[in-house]
Amino acid sequence: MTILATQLRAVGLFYRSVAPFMLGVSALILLAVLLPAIQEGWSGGMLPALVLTKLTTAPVVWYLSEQLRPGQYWFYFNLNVSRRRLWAGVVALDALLFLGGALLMRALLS
Amino acid sequence: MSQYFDNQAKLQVLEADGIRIVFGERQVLGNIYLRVQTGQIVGLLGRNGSGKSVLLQTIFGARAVADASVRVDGRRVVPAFREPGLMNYLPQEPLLPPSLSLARSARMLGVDLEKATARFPELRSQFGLRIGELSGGSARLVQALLLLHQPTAFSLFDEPFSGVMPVHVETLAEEMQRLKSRKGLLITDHRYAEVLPICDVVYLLHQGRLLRLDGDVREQLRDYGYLAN
Repeated sequence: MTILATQLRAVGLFYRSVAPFMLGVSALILLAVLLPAIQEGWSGGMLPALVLTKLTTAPVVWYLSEQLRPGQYWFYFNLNVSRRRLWAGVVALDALLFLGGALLMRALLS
Repeated sequence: MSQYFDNQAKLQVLEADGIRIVFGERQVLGNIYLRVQTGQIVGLLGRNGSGKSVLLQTIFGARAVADASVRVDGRRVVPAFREPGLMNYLPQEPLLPPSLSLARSARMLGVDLEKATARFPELRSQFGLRIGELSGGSARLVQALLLLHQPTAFSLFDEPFSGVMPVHVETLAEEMQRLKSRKGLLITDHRYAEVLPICDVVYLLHQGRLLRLDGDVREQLRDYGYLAN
């Protein structure tokens, strides 16, 4: 249990380090695509496509992160968390936040 | 906690072999066999570029090397860092995220910060600071202390004394000696004058081969060109 809690905290901490990229992309998609669609009344059924679009941007963030901060993983390795697990957690968390933001936006603006 | 650290009373043996690394045309490591056991400090020396860091990272599992075999008590553990309580690694570069406070870093690593810094009272006032706010030497010392006190069976330290002021180097070396009763330490550092006296075993990486030095270590280091004649 303690190990799992530590690993979840590690994913949260790692997410904070890539959040500016991730949330920036989310904001761009939501404001440039979803907002006009809601205002024009054709946003129904487009959420899966938007989430998929969002997911396809993850490799770009991953690549930039690897290039800009190659030494960022040592702390997480010392918490027994691999790169793969970190990124899987980050992508899942980011997709949930994106979906939550999209649903909230639709509920408020529709 | 973990099968490894809970097993402190029992001697545990870390072995690594089959590690062969080539960069371009140059073979950096080949014909490597390394052994560390709990209760030992093992020194790993070698000239710049001899592959010391690469070897530590390969043992830790951060660098995937085909055919590399890392075993603890004969059981294969690749990548080793995934095994809770087995080993930690202090890299040459900064370990901790600069935005993280010292206290939170210690909590995440499962370390009692008061105990870890008991012999360095001047660090107490810095517990609430972020790692990025510490001086380079203090940050290095804190990182080494946290990993030294983290409950793992083995610790791999890449230049732990780098940037640490002399009075702290001496105390850190004493702390390593004290804590080796709990774990096995593999240390590489160019400050050989501090490293050699605390080592039970010394290896030298020379032209891609790992040589275990017995007898007069300093003389052999001179023979192999690591120390000046």
